[in-house]
Amino acid sequence: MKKVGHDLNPVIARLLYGGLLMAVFLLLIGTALAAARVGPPVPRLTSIGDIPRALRHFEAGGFFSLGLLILLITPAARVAALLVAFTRDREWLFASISLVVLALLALSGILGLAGL
Amino acid sequence: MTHVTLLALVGFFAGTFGAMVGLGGGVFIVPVLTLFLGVPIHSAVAASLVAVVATSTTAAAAYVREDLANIRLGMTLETMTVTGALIGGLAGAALGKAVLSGIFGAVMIVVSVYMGLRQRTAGPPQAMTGELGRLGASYFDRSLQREVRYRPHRLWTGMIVSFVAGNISGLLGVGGGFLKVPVMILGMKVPARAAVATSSFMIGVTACAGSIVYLAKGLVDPVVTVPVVLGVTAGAYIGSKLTLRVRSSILVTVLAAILFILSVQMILSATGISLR
Repeated sequence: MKKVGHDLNPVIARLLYGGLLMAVFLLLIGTALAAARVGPPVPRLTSIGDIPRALRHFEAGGFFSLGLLILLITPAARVAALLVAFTRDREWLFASISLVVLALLALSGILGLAGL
Repeated sequence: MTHVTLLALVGFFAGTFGAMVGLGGGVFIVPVLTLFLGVPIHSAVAASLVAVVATSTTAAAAYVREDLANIRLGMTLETMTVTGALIGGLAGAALGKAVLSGIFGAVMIVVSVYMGLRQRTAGPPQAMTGELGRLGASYFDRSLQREVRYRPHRLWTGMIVSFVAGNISGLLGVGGGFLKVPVMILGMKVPARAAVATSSFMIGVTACAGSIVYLAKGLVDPVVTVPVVLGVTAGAYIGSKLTLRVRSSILVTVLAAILFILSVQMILSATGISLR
């Protein structure tokens, strides 16, 4: 049986490394801006909708928010990539499992935002 | 030295020593931040969870590239770790500081004793023939110079333990590999290298679920989290390079003793007693 994974492994590895490096890069820029005292004195995370504005104004909080967001999206993107791969190979059991994991990650955000 | 620099150093050393003994570093980040740097425990747990995402992402990428992580087994167990992390994250965010500190201390005392006492419990993987089944996998073991094939046993045991590990992860800001790895090796008959790799593969998503809960609740403080994440990422990279040069058995014993002392202090601080 052809195993999903062997052909996908380099793609997943690149996705994980790429996400982490991008996140670290953004967090370093934010740190440099905070050290240079650009923007509010104490950096705060901004809402997702406010990130573009904060980035345009070179506010550290905007770079921190985007960096942390990318860091947390990276593992979820790995699950999404597996969902696509399992679906492509008609491995419905593992495609369903990937979908359940993605749904649980989405539920984490929804329940957290709902204040539960 | 500024507070931010100290936070980065805590992350750096936790990442370095964590990588050297196969931990994500969260077990050290939470107690040091709360006991010595005055960080509120909920912020410390949130920062630790995000740091665990960073370190496990690095490790998982390497393990996936080397074909060591069992993606199907990892995804199957992830349904339970993520459910556990979601519940643990919601519970952790809702618990009072003293209760959370007390639980952290109690769980980590058990972990430190386990770390200190653990022996080599698994020999080289047995040669296996026949069908691998849906969750079976194979990898090339460089030290043995042969392909290792295995089929996991007792999936439900792994599912239950994964739920508990996920719960502890979301609740206390740690990866939970210290629980999953031995059960995968001893209970599910997964070869040690594949168990460690599969656990790392799962931890990023598990910690991600817990992190999202804390982030959505506004408990992720960038002033604490960002230096810790940057420090732990650099530390994990250096730690992975140093692993081969240091006798890990001595290091594990020393770190277990430090973790034990920190855990006792966490329990004492939960009861309002400070040794400092």
